[in-house]
Amino acid sequence: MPNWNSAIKKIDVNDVVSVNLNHHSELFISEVEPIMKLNIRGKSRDFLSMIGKILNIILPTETNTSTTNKFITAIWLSPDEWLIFKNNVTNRGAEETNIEENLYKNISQKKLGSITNVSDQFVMINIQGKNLYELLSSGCPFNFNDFKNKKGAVTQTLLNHTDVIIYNEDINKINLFVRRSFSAHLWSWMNDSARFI
Amino acid sequence: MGKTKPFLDFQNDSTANDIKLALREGFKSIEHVKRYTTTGMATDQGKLSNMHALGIIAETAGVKMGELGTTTFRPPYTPLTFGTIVGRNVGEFFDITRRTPIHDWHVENKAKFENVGQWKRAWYYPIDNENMHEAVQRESKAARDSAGILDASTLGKIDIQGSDASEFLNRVYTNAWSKLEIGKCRYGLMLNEDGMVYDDGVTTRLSENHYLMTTTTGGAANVLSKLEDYLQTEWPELDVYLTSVTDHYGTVSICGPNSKKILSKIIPDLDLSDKEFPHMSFKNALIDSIRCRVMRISFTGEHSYEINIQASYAKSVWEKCFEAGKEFNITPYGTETMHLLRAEKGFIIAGQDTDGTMTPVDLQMDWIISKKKYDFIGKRSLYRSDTIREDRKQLVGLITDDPKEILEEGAQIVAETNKQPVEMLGHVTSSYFSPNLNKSIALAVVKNGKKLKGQKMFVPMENKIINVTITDTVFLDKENKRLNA
Repeated sequence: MPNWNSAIKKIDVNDVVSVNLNHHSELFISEVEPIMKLNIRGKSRDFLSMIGKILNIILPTETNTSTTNKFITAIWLSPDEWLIFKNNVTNRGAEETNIEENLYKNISQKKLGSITNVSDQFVMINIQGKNLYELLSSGCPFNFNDFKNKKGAVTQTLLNHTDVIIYNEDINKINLFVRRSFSAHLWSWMNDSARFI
Repeated sequence: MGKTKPFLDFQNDSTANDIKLALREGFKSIEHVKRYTTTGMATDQGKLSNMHALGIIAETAGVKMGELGTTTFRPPYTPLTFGTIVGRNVGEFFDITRRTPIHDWHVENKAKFENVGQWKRAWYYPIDNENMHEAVQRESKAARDSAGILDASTLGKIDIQGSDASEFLNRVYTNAWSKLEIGKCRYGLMLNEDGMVYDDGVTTRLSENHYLMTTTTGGAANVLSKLEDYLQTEWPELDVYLTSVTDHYGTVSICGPNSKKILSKIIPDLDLSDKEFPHMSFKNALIDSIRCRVMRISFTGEHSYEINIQASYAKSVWEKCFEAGKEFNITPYGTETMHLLRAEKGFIIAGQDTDGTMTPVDLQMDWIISKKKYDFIGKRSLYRSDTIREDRKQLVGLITDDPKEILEEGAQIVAETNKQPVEMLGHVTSSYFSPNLNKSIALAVVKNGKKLKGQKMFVPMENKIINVTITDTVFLDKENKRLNA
C-alpha cells in the first residue's frame, strides 16, 4: 500500500516545548500550540451583543487592553477589530470548528461583521522570566515601563523589525503573537539576543 | 591657539562666545539661551553641550549652576549604544527572512532559494550537477508533459467579508464582480489612481458576502494597506472587512495533464469532472478530515489545482501530493520555471512586465476593463490624453532569428542601428529558452508595439546585434486547450 494514503500531519513551527534562553536570568520561551485564534471585526451594537452572547465575553473597547473569561481572551487590535484566542491548548477538532462555525453563522452570515480563522496566521510564543523586558527592549522601540505592571495590557509593535502583538499575561510573563512566516527568524533572534542579557 | 573657536556643541557648531553673546543681548533663561544659540538642540538633546553651556552662563552671570535650572531633558536620559536600540542586526539577523510552511522540504530536497521580498522561495531544484538552466528546462518540460508541483504559499491572501464585498471589488478591480457566482474564481487587475497597473490576482467567491482575494507575493502588504486605507478614508459607507490570511494558509499547486489523476488519489470523494469542477472554480474539501479549499486555477496554462490548507498541515499535504504523483513523475518546480511557464502563455507578472507606467490597454488587456461600471480606481486616468495615445509602449512578444539566442532582460530594442542617435523603442521584460517550444521567447514593451507585429527589430548588445521579430504575447496553446486536457 503506498503511503500517500497516510494521514496528514500537523507540523509545529518550532519543534520544542520550552527552552531556557538564559540560565542566569531564567528566561523561558515556548510555543503554545495548538491554540484557536480568530480575528473578529464589526462595528454595530448588535455585533458586540452577539459576540457577548456566543462567547460570554465583553469585547474590550479601550485601546490596547484585553478582556478574558475562563476559556478565552479577547485582545483589542483596532476600534473594529479583535483577536480572540483560547486560554488553553485544545484539540484542533470539533470544538474549534464549532466555535468558528457558530460565530460565522451568527456574525458573518447575518452581516454583522466578519469572522476569520487565523489559528495558523499567528504563532503564539510564551516568554517568561525576570529579564523578559530586557530581551524585548533589545530590539523593540516600545517603552514597557507602564506596560509591564499592567496585567492584560496589549501592544502592537515591532520586535527586530517584525510586527508583533504582545499581551501581558502576568508579571514577567507575556504571550507574543507573530505571523507564522516570520516566527522561525524571530525565534532565532530571541535565542541570540538572550545571550547578551 | 588665540583664534581657535571654543566649540560647545559639535552638532550645531555653537561656541562659548555664542553663549556669552546671548547673555550680553539679554537672554538670561537657559531655555532662551538654548533657542538663541541652538546649543543642545541636536540629537544629543543637551546631554553633552548644555552642561558646559550651564557652566559658562553661571560663571558669566556670577550665579551657581544649580540656580539656573536645566532645559527639558528628553530620552535617552543616559547615552545608549545603537545596538541597544536596534538589537543585533548582524549575520543571519541582518535582514528578516520569511519561510513558507513547506520550506524545510525544499531545504531537504536541495532547492536553491531566491529572495522575493523577505520571502525565501524555492528557485529551482538541481539534480546532481545541474546548473539553473538545465534544472529549469527539466522542470518546465515535466510540468507540461505530466505533472509539476509548486509551493505557492507566498501569494498574498486577503479574506473579504461584508454585505458590500461585491461592490468593494467592483471599485477595486477594473472588471465587474457582482455577477460572479458563488464557487467561481475571477482574475482581476488593480490600478493606481493614475491608471497604471498596480497588482493582480485571482479572487474567489466563497459565499454571498465572502471572498478570498490573492495578490502578488511582493505586493501583499501594500495592497492590504491600500485597500484598508480606501475603506477608512474614501468609502466608509461600505460594509466590508479585510483580514490577512497569507500566513494562515499554505498553498500547494499541482499542474500538468496528470494533475487531475493525482488530486483524485488524494481527495477521492471530490468530483473533478469538467462539468462539476470547471476551470476558474473552487470546492471545499477534506483531506484526512482537515478542511481545505481547492481552486482550479492556472498560472501555467495547464490543467491545474491549488490546494489551500491551514499552514501547519501544508508540508504534509505537499508530501502526500508528491507521493501520489510519483507514478506520474511529478516534479517540484521553483519560481524560475513558474516564470518560464507563464511567459509561454503570455501571462504577465506585475512588477516584472509592468513598471508603474503600463495601463491595461498597454498590456493588450483591454478585455479586462469594464465599459459598464460607473467607476473603479484609475478609471478616469485611462481616458486622459496621454494614456489614450496609440504610440505608448505596449506589451508584445519577441522571437529571436536564432532560436538558441536568449535575450537579456532589460536589453533595449531599436528599429535602426545606423541612424544616430539610436532611438530606443522599448526593452525586454522577460526572456527564457522554452524547452516546450524549443526556442527562445521573450516579452517586451515596445513603442506602438501593437501595430508592429511581424516587424523586424534589433537588440544591440555589447559585442553583437541580435535580430528579433515582434509577435503575439501568447507563444503556446493559443486556444487554451491544455486547460481542460
